[in-house]
Amino acid sequence: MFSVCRVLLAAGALAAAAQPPALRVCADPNNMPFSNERGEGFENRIADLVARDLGRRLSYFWLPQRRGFIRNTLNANRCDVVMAVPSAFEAARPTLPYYRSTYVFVSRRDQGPRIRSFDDPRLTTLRIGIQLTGDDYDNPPAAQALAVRHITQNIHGYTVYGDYSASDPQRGVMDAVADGAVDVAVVWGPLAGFFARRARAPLTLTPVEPASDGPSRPFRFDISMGVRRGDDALRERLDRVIADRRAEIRRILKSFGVPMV
Amino acid sequence: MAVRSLLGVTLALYAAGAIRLWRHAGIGRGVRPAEAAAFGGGWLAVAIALGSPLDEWSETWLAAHMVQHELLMVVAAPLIAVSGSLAVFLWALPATARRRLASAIRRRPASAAWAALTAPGVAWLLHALALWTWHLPKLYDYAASHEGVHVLQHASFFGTAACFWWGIARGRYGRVGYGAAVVYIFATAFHSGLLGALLTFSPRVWFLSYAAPHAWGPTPLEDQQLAGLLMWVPAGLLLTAGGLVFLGAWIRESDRRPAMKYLAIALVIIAGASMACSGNHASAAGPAPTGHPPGAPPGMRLVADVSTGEWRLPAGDYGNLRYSTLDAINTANVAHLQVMTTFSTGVPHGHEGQPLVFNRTMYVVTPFPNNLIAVDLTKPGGAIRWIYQPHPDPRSVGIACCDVVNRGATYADGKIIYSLLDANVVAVDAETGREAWRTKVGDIGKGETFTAAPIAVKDKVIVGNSGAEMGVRGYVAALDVRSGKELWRAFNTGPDADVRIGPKFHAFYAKDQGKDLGVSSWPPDQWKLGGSTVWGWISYDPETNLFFYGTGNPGVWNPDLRPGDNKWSCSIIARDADTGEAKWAYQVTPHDSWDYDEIMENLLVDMDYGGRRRKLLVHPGRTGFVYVLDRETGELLSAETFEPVNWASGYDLKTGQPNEDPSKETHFGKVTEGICPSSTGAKDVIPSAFSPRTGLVYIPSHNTCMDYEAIDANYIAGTPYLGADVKMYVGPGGYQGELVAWDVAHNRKAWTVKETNFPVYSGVLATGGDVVFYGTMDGWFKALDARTGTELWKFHVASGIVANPVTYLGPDGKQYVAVYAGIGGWMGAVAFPDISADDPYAALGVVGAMKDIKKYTAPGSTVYVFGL
Repeated sequence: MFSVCRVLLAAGALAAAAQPPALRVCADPNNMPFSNERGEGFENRIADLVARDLGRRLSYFWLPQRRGFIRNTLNANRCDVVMAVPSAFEAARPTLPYYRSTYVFVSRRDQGPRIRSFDDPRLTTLRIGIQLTGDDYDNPPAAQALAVRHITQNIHGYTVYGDYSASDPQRGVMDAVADGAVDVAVVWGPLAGFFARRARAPLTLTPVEPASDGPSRPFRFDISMGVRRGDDALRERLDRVIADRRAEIRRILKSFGVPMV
Repeated sequence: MAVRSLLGVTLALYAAGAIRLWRHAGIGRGVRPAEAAAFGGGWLAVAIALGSPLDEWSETWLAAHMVQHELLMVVAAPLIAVSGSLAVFLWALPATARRRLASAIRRRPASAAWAALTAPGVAWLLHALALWTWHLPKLYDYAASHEGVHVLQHASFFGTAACFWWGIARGRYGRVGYGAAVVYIFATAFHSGLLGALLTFSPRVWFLSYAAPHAWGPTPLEDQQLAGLLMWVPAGLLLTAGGLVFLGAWIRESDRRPAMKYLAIALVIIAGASMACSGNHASAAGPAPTGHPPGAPPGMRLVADVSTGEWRLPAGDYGNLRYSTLDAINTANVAHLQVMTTFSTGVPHGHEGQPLVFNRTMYVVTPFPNNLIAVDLTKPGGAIRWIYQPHPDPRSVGIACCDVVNRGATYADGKIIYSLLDANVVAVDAETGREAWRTKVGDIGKGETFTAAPIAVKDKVIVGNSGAEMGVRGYVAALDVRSGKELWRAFNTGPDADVRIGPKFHAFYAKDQGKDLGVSSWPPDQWKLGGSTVWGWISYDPETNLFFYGTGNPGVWNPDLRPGDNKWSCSIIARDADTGEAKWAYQVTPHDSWDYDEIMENLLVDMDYGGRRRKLLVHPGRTGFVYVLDRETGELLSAETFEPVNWASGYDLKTGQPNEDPSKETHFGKVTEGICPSSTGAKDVIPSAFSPRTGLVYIPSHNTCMDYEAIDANYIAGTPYLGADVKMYVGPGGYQGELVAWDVAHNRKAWTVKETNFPVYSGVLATGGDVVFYGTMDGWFKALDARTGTELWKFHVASGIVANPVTYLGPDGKQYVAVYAGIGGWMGAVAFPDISADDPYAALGVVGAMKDIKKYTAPGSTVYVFGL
């Protein structure tokens, strides 16, 4: 009897010891549609997929994604992977891109103007909503494109920080279009796609053209996962997951309405 | 109540006795009208001392308590002693009782005892003993808190004084020995004057029962000084007057001995002169001078008390001078300074700010989680009295993202008051460590954090917010010091009503005049995300009741998106401390495109400047200029550079405008090279100090320039963009930082001490010992000669210093210097909070420095106390 117990215990202990280490992910606990604490974002879903594929259990370190995020997460060794960084990112080592999206013009389907490019003369008179990150005067490309054209008098800014004490802190700019506070907004694709489906009025999304407004104002971005610089082993494994599971990943993104180009 | 009844009974008895006596002997006989008047005067003095509101005031104010005692001893006692009132009281009694009592008094035991008691020598000694014994701190405090003992104290003051005066004026030894009487009176004046002088000049509060600061009026130390002066000067004068009366009588008596007459006159002159001189000395060289400080050049005047042994405000004083008069540590002996105590705050993150020290306790606010530690300075080794843990919202760490520092607390109304990172403000009872109130002022959900130190002004606490880069709209708010309730809030952008610009506002320059500039200097509605936060220092001028502060950069908007001056970002604003109404404003950098926050300290001092006495506000700016303004009007008197600067060549003093170099403006997508200073500025929030003795402002400064180009991919809250890649590097001269000694009157550097390795990122302390203290990022705490800049002493502490040193007197009466050692930890390179430091390898051309910082220091959390 005792010997059976001991063997079982030993086996259990061995099994536990042999467990692979968790896949530690750093993510924003309140940033739909990307991620939240309840695992409802598409980056959460993709992280589930990756962990399953690697045969590891998933664990999270939560931190709002602000200035200093990589320094305080990946580089502080609180996690091993961040689910999304621009593929040209230098602060972390990006994997291969797993999707490519674009900033879109957002307007009301019934009455809104259909804008395709920043050269559209209507932009000088329309009320325009843009996202603001404000990080040392840097802002998403819409801000720059308007500034360069001296379109400044009719702009309404919506910080990406929003009201962090509420859920969906980034939906403000989309609600502004639906409610008629602005005529058109320029929003990063995944945000626009997700909140358009939940908007109070039907909205149209139009990818910004051309893909880049001058060399320093691209509107399309490749998105990769990010690991610590030097963590080539994990990066290679993630690259393989991305290649092998391309179709599944696309399906997840499509289900969230992410415009892919 | 009992006092009033007793007074009433006494008066009634006297009246009854006087009426009966005069009916018996005739009016004016038995007791003369003059004597009755004397009794009346004495009775009135007692009534005022014990039965009027003075008694109530004496519970709070030592000076009032002193007036009580003086009334009893120097007014009531002599008057009643000469009034011969005993006889009158006897006549209040029925005849048989009167006769029996009178004979008892005249009989041997009673009369002998009375004679002995009132022998001038004995009475003088008893009175002196009573005076000095009751002023021993422990006894005085005991009497103040125990009513019975308090009555005993007053009775013995009055009683011994009355015996003394009676003995001199009416006793067996009186009238005969006028000379002796004069000597005794002057001796009394001398020793009580001595006691008064000790009280006046003592740098620390003697009586715990009068040690708690008040919500208004004098500080306890000032109260004690006043009390001492009252004992010394007016009482001394009264006694001298009494002495002169006897002296006059003595002179008349000794007419037959002219030599004695001339000796007596000489005595009078000497006595008068010494009274006058000591009176002058008392008022001119008091230890806590507003007005002219000792050792300072003529024409120098402080607007508010500076620290003289305690540290109750974040900057030590309202004028933000960070100066202490203490001189026990001085240029002659600072080389022997050594570590007395160290203790850990337990929080290994960036330690900015400074402790408060008073009432034998040191109060330390830690970085997040913003605990308040009270350290008992009477015990060796940093013994903790209590720790208050407010448990601020932990999400504030992530939302604040960069800085979890706290720049310190302020003290008022018995409470330590400071801000929490999650935009709440708390007040903690300084004795017990219990929370008195907590007020939510800002909204952490909208990215608002609080890192600045509040300032207590009269019955209010003034706070400012942080978070401009999150789109927060900047403001200052006033809370009631007792309840914490928010009284008003004055914004720094938006319409005049929000900014509290009203009929009393007058900006000096045309560029700052106009209606609703906080709206019209922006494209429509942009002022709502207009930044202009207040995360630096606030100073206060008690004479004009104005407070002064600077505002941060214009928030989330790229410069090209916000054409216009963008008021009131990067401005210095003066506001009424009661209502928050703006009095004047001066925008230092209109349409900022370099991140030149101007939240730096504003030092207030009056001095001879440009040929006449002026009320100055000195602001060492982020921009690399030292701004000197007239703080009454906001006129810019001078703007000279203290570090290499090329974004502007200077300021037009007539218009207040900077003469900018357009080639140094930043535009997204445009490469701009060699902008000096960089975004981190020639100076950041770490505060300067000023010595009124040298007239120098000691500025901790940086020497960095930057190249600006946009090529870096970045990602915030899931939103990608190309951001500016900013390279920062050492400026001309090759040194990273300097401690600059700036001669205010002459608008130029007096001397500097260069630091090669790192920018100077600590606050500065100036002292009456002519020593200046500051720290370096690689952990050296240094003392310099305030006049020459010679390094006199240094000590390597456990971590880099980004905090502000303070100095104080310990309970043992010795001078100590304290500073935090704790460079920014994992939550941020505290040194450069404004660099987009997501990528530690890019941008930071001071990469040479910041990468190396790990070789020189590591995070720490130690409080150091140094002494001789």
